[in-house]
Amino acid sequence: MRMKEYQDDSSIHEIDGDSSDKEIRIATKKEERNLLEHKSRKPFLFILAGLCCLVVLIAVVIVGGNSKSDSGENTSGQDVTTNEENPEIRSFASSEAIQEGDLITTDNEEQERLNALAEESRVYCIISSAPYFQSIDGKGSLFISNPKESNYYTQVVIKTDDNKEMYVSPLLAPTEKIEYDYLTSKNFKQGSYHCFAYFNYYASEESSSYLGSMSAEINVEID
Amino acid sequence: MSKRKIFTVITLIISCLMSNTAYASKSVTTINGCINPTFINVSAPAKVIFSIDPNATKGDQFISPLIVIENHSNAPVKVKIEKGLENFTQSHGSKWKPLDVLPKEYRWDVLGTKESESYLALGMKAVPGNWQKLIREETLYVKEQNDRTESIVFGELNGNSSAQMVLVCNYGLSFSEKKECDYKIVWSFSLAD
Repeated sequence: MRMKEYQDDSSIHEIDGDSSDKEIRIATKKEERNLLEHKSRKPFLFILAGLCCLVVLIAVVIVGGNSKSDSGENTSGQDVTTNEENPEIRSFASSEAIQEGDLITTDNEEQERLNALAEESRVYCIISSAPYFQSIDGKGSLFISNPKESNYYTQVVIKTDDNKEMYVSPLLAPTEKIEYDYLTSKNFKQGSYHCFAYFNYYASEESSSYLGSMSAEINVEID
Repeated sequence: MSKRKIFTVITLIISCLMSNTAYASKSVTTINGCINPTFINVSAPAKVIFSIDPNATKGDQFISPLIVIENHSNAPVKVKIEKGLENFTQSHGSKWKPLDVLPKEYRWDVLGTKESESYLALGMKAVPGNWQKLIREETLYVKEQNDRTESIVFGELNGNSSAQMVLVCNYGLSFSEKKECDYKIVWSFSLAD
């Protein structure tokens, strides 16, 4: 409508071409005004057209979504009106995930996996059942070993029945052993002590890699 | 008669000669025995993982590995768990921390999500078979360990032999999410009496 008005004004301008200067100036001003109006309306028209497109798009999405849920994807079990009486089988790009068989099966593989993990974590506890020290300051026969079959580090702590620490070994890597060593605590008198040798196991040389412990009941003799 | 007398006399003479010979060769030998103490040489798994699949058929829901305890010593050893909570307990770092209970405390097959995710009865028992002497056949539950004042001896193993232990578990069947828990066992060994 506005475009038509502009065309009409333009034709007036042409008709007035041979008139006086005043008339020409008036016509020119009118044209400028029309041009300005046209320029200011142009973005508005684009915005309006964009909004219309957006409304149409939203409407399409809503209608499409409703028809999708009506066509059988409602799993609530309620009676819903469907646009499609016979939903089409949808084709998928890949059927790799499909397997044959029952969903719930007895799982021997899981049993074997857990057995293997337990076996991998096997740790060893080797020590003399009666370490003997000729004196509190002398070396004693401990015979502690971390054998080559072991995968872990071990540290041995010998404690008496009443939890007094008598000996702490260095951290032993697999294949390392201590045959004779000094007691790390000298606060014991001559005598026979009923003790527990605690083997603490680590996956690495860090305390945070602690795996677990085992203990051996031993009798420490100090002459 | 005379022959008999002669035989008796000869026998007596020989006996005297023999006894004189024995006295003549008398000597004293000192026997000095030196016996080294026996080494305790045993091994066991440090890590035991179990899983519960509430969707599996009954009997297959709880899966745990066989815990094989090997005695590499030549002498028989006792397999035991010493008294004290720290020797059979739930680890501090366990992601799932169910309350340790006894099996008889709940009807496990009717537990809902809330109770299934709150309680567990985990125990340990010896598998009869290779033991030289099976001392305890009953399951030792984690909860029992809290109250014990003496060590529990499961059995004795012959030298250079092995025997098996298994985990026993009672559990609910309703879990809203995956659960993982860790327990700690400190095995103890000594020479058999």
